[in-house]
Amino acid sequence: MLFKMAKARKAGVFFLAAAILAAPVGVAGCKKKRVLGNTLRVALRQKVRTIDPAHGGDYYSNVEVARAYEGLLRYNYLKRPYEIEPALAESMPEISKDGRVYTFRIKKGVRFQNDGCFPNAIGRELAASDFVYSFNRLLDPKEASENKWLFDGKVKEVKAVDAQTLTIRLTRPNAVFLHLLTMPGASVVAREAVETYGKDFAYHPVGTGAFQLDRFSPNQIVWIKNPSFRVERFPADVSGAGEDAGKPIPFAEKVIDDVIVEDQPAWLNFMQGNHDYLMKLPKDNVAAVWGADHKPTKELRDRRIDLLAAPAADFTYVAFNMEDPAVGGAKNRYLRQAMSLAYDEAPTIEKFYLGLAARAEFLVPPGIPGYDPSFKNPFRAYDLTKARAILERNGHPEGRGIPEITYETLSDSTQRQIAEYFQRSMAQLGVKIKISVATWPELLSRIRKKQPQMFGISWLYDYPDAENGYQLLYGRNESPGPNEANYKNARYDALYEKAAPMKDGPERRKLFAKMRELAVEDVPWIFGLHRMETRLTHHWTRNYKIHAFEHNVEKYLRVDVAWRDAEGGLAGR
Amino acid sequence: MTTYLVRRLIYTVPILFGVAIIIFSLFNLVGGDPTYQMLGKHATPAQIAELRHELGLDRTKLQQFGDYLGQMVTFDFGRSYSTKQKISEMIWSGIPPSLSLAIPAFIVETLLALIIAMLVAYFRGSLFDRIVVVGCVMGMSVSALAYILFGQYVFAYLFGFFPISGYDPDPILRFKYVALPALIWVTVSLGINVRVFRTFMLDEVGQDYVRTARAKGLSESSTLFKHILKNAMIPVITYVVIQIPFLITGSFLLESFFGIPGLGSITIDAIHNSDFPVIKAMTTIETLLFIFGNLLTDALYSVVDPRVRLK
Repeated sequence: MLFKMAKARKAGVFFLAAAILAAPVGVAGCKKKRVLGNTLRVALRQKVRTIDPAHGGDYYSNVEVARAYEGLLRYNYLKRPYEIEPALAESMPEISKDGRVYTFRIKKGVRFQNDGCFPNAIGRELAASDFVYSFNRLLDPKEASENKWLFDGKVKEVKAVDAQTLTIRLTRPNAVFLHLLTMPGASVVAREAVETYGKDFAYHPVGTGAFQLDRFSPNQIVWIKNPSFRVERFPADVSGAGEDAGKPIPFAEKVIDDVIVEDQPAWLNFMQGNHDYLMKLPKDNVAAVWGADHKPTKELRDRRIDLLAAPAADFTYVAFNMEDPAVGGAKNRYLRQAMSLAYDEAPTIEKFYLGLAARAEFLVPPGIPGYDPSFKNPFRAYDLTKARAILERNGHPEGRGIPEITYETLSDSTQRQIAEYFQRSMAQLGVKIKISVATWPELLSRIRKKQPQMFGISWLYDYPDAENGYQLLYGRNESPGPNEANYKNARYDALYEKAAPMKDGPERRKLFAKMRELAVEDVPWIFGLHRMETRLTHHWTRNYKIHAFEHNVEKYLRVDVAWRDAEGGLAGR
Repeated sequence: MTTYLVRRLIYTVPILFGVAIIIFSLFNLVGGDPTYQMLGKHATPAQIAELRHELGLDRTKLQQFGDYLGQMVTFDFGRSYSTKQKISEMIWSGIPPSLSLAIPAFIVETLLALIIAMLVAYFRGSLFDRIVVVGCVMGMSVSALAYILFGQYVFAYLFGFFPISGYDPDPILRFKYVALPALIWVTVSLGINVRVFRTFMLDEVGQDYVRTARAKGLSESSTLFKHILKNAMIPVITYVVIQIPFLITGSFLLESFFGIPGLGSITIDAIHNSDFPVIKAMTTIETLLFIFGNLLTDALYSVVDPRVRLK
């Protein structure tokens, strides 16, 4: 009897333990797929810091800014090469003959979304004075705006001539100024909203854009279609506009942005159909979608998932600190040339990008006007023999006598592996490399203070104009500016000053070609690669086209809701 | 005991001061300058100087340290560099998600560990005991990350038992989202806690009073449940109680992988963004919780064990 009781007690304990363990499964197992209707579900791969145009310096904050806000100009969603078109401007601006005064007519009937900051909570009509306020806000030192650079030193005066007319006077002609006006930082805000919400304005967007904030939490941001949004239409006069050409946008009634920082949950959520597309393909999952034959895998085709790929407007590079006595200056040019020749990018492209990248010959990526596919950088074709000969000619056979060089990079595993590959490549040349890793803030801090000898980094174009790349080597932009190599060449600088205000054309490209010659010869950087931008879209997601400079693609996307629902719907919350 | 507690509270002042020096040095003297990251790639020296002034970073280190001490006293850590939100609001909004995950996981895991520890103490030396010990060691040896990746892939993606990630502020619906991370929490912590509790139990098994009980003819189960368990609960309670304050601060890995907007997730974001005010606030809170946890444990000793007198 006693034995039975002991046995029963034991069984009871086990049962209790099993029940405790199983309880959460029961709770979660009740999950029923809920059909969300005309809703887009998107995974943001970083936390959103702000929805204030003045402070949205990073990509994901700008994505959210662009949901609610608009500027004077934007890029056509479909046209390539990228083409600027009016957004809140009635038409493209009149530009004075001297290129210093831009006159815009503002669209009539555009209203801010309804919000408690306005009388009777009804959004008022947009006026030219709103742009005056918004642009001056960026320049206000108290605001400490990350986007101040858009106008700082470039704009002399912004003036509302009347309710619909705005003039912007520049300090000097600027060929890229229209590009700057397309950026989310140059969006228009309402003074009432800024003054009502104060510092909390960052999470109380009140714009004229296609979507209106419904709910904000650190892990999920929900937008609904702005009921007072004017009639805007999907591009029609462009090839590839498809069946939605000329239809009113946005198509989606709601956009749910799930913040998913880690790769695995982002990947699994997409594959389970919880998100309509996936940006930033996780490195560990590239092989699942992109075969060794450089084609989409069978699994992908079977599941009718499309892999979209387009050149990203970026390039990676290893920068030398040109002020460092061991690697910088004219006296070490031979060393930089030899190191550049000894670094073969091909294995990096295959190993880390599975071929979804191309060797960078120079700082203008494919897709940017001025990119020259026929140009071959004489110091980027891998040639170890030539590299060794250069060192020998300069009194360093097999690298003898060259001091150890410190290469600084980020502490994540991919960057460390790339740095180790660089180290091995240089060892073949006889140049000893010491790797030093740091977090991004630490590395950035050191770069801005001109401390590293050399470091690995990348540049993502702000706008589609080659000037954005060439300015990286302009002497006056030295650290803490974007010329992080602290490269100074008087001839290069003089040519830059001449080319920068010019519009893209043969004359300007000729000047850029001369600058390229100088920079290629001096080797302030070892060029790395141009990455491919990739997206995965489910077959029910329509109209996705990779756009390097449009942040609110959701405005143009349409979900075939019936199709999605037929496949089991979207897991909802 | 009151005198003892008051004295211990007074002792926390120099400890906190020391911690403040360490935290301040770590983030203000060694770490990178946050203004570079905040202003992005187009920053000019003038803009950097403006922002440094705005944030008070151009004041002397001593003045900045004084500000920090003031913040520790008033619990007003200002606003986040990164999101411009009030840090106090961020913390208050982060506590419920963290606790939603931590409390159920902690209770289940502690109860389960206690039950298993009692069973293995009861069957000590048997095959069952050995299997559990080996299982615990194996469980402890596997990284928490492996459990997360496996659990997310198998139970959420393949079988669909749980959502892959996410969180719902609804008081009931949130448990759908915290169920899987809570199970993983239980799995990760179970091995070590079973071993610790088993040791507490077995320590008692060798005591004289147990020998006396057996000599008086008490059954093994009565000895275990009536005598050994009661005495083993003293170290068990202290071991468990010291962990309670830390439940508030959440789990860095679980919150990050499962998209739970708790304090662990807030801390990770702050580290990624060099958001020093948030990091300082979280580190200070962790320190205070640690001191408070120790104090609570000491006080509980005297409550659960009448032999202990605090003077």
